[in-house]
Amino acid sequence: MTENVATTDNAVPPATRDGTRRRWWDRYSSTSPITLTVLALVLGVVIGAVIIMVTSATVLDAWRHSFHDVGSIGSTLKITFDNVAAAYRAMITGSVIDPTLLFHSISTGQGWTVTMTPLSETFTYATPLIIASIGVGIAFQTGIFNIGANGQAIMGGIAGTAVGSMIHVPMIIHLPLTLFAGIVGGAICGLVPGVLKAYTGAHEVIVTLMFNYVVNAILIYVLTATALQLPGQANGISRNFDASATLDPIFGVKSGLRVSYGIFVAAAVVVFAIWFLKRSSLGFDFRVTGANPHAARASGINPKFIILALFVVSGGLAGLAGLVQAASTTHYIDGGFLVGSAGIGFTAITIALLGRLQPMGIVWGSLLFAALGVGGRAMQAATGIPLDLATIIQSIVVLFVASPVLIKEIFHLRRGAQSFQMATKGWSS
Amino acid sequence: MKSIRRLGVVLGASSLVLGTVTIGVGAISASAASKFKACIVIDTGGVKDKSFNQSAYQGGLDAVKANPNIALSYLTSTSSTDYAPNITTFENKGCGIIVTVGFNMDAATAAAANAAPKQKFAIVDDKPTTTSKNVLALQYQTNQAAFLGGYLDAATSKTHVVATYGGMNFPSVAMYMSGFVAGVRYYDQSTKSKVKVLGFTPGKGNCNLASCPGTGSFVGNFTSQTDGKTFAQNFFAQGADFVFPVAGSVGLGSVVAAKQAGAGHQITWVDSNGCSTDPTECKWYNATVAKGVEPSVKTAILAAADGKFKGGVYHGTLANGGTLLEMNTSSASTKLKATLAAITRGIESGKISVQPSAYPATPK
Amino acid sequence: MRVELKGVTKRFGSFTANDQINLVVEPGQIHCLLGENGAGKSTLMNVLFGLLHADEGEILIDGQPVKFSNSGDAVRHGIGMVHQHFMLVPVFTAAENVVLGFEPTKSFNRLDHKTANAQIHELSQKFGLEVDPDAVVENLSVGLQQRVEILKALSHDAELLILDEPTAVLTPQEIEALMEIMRSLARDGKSILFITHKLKEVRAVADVITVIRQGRVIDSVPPTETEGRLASLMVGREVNLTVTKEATQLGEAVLELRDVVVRDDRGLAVVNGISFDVRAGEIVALAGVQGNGQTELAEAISGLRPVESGTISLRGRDITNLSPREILDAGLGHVPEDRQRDGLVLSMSVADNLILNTPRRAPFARRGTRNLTAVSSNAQDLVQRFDIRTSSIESTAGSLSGGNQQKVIVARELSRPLTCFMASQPTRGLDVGSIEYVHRQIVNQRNEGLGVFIISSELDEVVALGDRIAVIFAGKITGVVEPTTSREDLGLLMAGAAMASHD
Repeated sequence: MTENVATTDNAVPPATRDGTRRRWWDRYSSTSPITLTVLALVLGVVIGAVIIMVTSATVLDAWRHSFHDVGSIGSTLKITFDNVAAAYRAMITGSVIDPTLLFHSISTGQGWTVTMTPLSETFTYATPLIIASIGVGIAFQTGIFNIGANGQAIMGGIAGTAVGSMIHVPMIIHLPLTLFAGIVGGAICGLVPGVLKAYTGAHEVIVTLMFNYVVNAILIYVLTATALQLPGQANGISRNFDASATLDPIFGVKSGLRVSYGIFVAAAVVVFAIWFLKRSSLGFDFRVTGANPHAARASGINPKFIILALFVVSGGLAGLAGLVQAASTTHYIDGGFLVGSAGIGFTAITIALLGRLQPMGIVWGSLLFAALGVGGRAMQAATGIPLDLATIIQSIVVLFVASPVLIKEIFHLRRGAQSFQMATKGWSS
Repeated sequence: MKSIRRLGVVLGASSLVLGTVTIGVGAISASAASKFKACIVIDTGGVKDKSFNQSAYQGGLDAVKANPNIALSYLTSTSSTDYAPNITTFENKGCGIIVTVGFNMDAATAAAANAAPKQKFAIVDDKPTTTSKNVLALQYQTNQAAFLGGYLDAATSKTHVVATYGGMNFPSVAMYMSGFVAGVRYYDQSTKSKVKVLGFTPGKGNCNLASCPGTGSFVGNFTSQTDGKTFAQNFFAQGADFVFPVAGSVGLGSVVAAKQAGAGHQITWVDSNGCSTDPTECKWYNATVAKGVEPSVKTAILAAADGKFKGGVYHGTLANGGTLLEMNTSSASTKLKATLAAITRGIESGKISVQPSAYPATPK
Repeated sequence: MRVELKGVTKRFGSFTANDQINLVVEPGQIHCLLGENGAGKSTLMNVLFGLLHADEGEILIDGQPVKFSNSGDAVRHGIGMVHQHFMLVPVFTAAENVVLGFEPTKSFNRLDHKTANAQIHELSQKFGLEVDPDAVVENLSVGLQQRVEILKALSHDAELLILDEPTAVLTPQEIEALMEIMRSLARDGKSILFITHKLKEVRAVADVITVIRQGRVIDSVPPTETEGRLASLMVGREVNLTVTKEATQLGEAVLELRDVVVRDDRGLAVVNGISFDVRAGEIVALAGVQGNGQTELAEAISGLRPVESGTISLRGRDITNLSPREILDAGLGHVPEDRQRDGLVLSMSVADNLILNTPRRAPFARRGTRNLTAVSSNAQDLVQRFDIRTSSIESTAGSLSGGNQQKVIVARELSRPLTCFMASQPTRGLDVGSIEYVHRQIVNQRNEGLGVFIISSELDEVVALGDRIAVIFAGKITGVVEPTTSREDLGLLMAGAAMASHD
């Protein structure tokens, strides 16, 4: 799907230049997804900086002052730069690692918790994103748009929470059972649109999209009107997971680092996805169907079966993602579980496309999104710039990656006529 | 197929863009490291939710106004997953007090408080089941303001029937209803009237946050507006002209019912002023039995900044502004307002009890 | 209009697609550009039409050098082009496609359908290309889509018309009609650049023939040159244009059709009671003008389209309305008519395409896990055995030339055990070298005792390959004849004159 298909003589290899510049130019102008994403990130950061400038009261005051007193322009520029730098410093040190703290920890052997918290948080947030995005990615590779990943994740969370909190068995049975319940919950939720598409031809985008709303209502229902609700509570909140059903922090609860065994689940999903797409017969059928449904049918693939199987796999992974989220962080679900801006199933759509539907690409995309979110929180705490700036940068990255033509024009990656072809072909070509 | 893929890109991108439309621009300069740091973990609604989050943040701003040596910061949570890391972020930042908003943060606050016994916490409208002494539970004696609400409704009722119902029979809910019933009975006793109150019959024993005995009308959830509409319609059919729903968004259904029943039917709201949360339907609210989140948060922060912080429970009362009756201008005559002010003083001084058992029940 | 290309060179990276091409098209001349697929004809035309920019050389119109930065410039200079791959909007009607970009409008910028339809009607009349203006293009046959393309180019008053492989998809009658149009346009003083690799057409219509091989002009020759000479100029070696067949022992019937009725997407019975047999060791060729039910018949046999009534059996086993999977497994080999749509996954590797319909068979997979080593060695073997020209077995099928794509399909089908081999339009769009190859493979299969069923609208092919020729018209077989039957008689059958009148 990501490979360019050269069907005619007009498919043009990269332009060439003479001399030593050529190789450099070729590499620069070849639009590898990584180059594209990095450049999009650069643009996102630049635009983010502008937004910081025009929304920061301190910076605006300084400029207002300079307007009257031209001599102060130097200090104004410094204030501007300092503000922007402080924001991004907080974002990076808050999502990856703070060198000062790292040095302190190495030299004294103390404070490792604080030093490692940003990385731990980034991985904590990335874990369910990776799982859900791979589920979405597999569907997209098959040419099916599963917009319902969020609903499937919520269903997985509900089913997993029910098993995790209301059944009491030893961990060796309980944890796998809980994970399985998450998968089943998501798969069932995915199967409904799958059946509708396979047997009635309903368009999966509409059905899955609408199903998200249905599931939101189901969530409220189970949290307020069923035995899953925490006893004695007025609020919509579930029972807590048994300790035997949680994905515990790898370094122990006392470490203060939240990164949990959930990342092993995510790693297993990545390995599974790579195997599935590359090595499994079913994955092969999926890819054939996605790349050319006509040829798939002609070569004996049953499209109905593929649609159903696909929704089971994709929905199951989304469900697992929802469950992992609950089992590794809160240990309960509430009315805000994966709702609104916390909807990992929607973010997963974006990340799947950002990662070009490839499992490893999705891993990097998830880490980037998680880091921006975690760093954004650190930035808000340190500088008061709202967390939403991180969302803006995420959005800009996605918008630019989605429109390679724009990136190429801005960075002069290619000239003229060929850009038009890119524009008309869009993302998937 | 290709066009569908492109649609996906558009959907993916636009879902993010939509997410950024609400950009809160509240950059607060983090100038003074020496200042006392007051930090608020806001729930998913954000600081402009016209409800507890906004009130808590406003309380923080009020505290800064009262003591300029306080630096306020806040973090918004996008989901319950964020509570713990948001608290951790503030702990690492060296916050003098961390205020968490609402019952949802109960578990995260209790866990953090147990893990860090020296970190001061205050939690709005909740009392975590923790034994640690570093948590101040901000709670509200809502029966005091509900008493005023009951009196107001009884005094202005033309049909001499008023009603209340709850979401579920929990002490926090029944407390409103109990105070409301007490207010109506006090009105009947002091004015020799016979205003009936439907929907709640107090049980034996006093009503407090731990236990509030009584039976009555409960819808069984806090979300179904259809239920809220049905309940209110039943009450209107039984002659009530004021209904006091204590059931979160269920009550919005009652507002619809009042609207359909027409002029003369009104809803007495709870928690956050109905007129400001729902301004277009303001005329269907006569008053709000509110929780005074702002003063409670302000008090907690100021106490921490002055080194006078003590864990336990903060009781919001009429006296400290922790609970209050917010009336619409036209809801009561000047004379009635004066009476209500006098009753307020009576409750504050303890001369007037807000327990329904202190007054004879109105004969049916 | 006199158009001259001088020293035109176009490189793609290290590959030189056009090398110092010199070419002159005189006014009123039909100039044929003859060359195999991949010789650089399409690239050259794209340069001339402004879609690509030459690295060296220039274009002169009436002696004046011109520069085209896009195809719009070329159109403004009176150059029109009919592309090999259609540039039509599938969901628009024929009329909408023709007027696209120059739409007649009513008030408020609404499309004036009436005028548009009138325009296309007038054009159809003038050039003798009948098209229903209201037909949605995606519902039209390939041949009719081609007509819309030609009409679209003609509608812009082109002085030089570039026709890139226009006859590849047309019936003999349509080709004859098109040639008549070309001649009449030339008489009006318009120039035509006619790109093809079909020798008969070239000789029938061209004033001058320029042969291109590997990006270079090899020679310019008059149309009186023999086919053999033209072919060897094109391919660069001697080519055997006739198919030699030895007599074989006829075996049992492997494919039997009895009163088969098939409906098309609109619900019309386009295959209306067809019965015939294909026996082991023979080639039955189904001749007919495109659009007479051949496509639906092939789909029905391979399980892609439901059979309304009647039976289809494969070596005695009833396969009517079985799933494509079951029919594949029953031993039907199928080369589909539209190979890029139904036969290949262009974005996937040659190796994967070579096992496309047997991915779960040993040794390519075991218990749901694919054996990529087996897939690769199968691909290596077939690439060598069937002479598939690809840089690597991991290259995408889309990167291959049309002939090699077809070889991939043929190799795949012939590499598994078959009962009957069915090929629809097996050499459509292929160059001389590839046609020769595919034909030899088909005859080899017959010689080895396989029953072969060929569907082709190329009369030459039908005559060359068929041991028996069945002619289809309007969903019915109008006759089953010997390959020695005269072309006139075949033509009559194809036009619906039933055999019955002769009997």
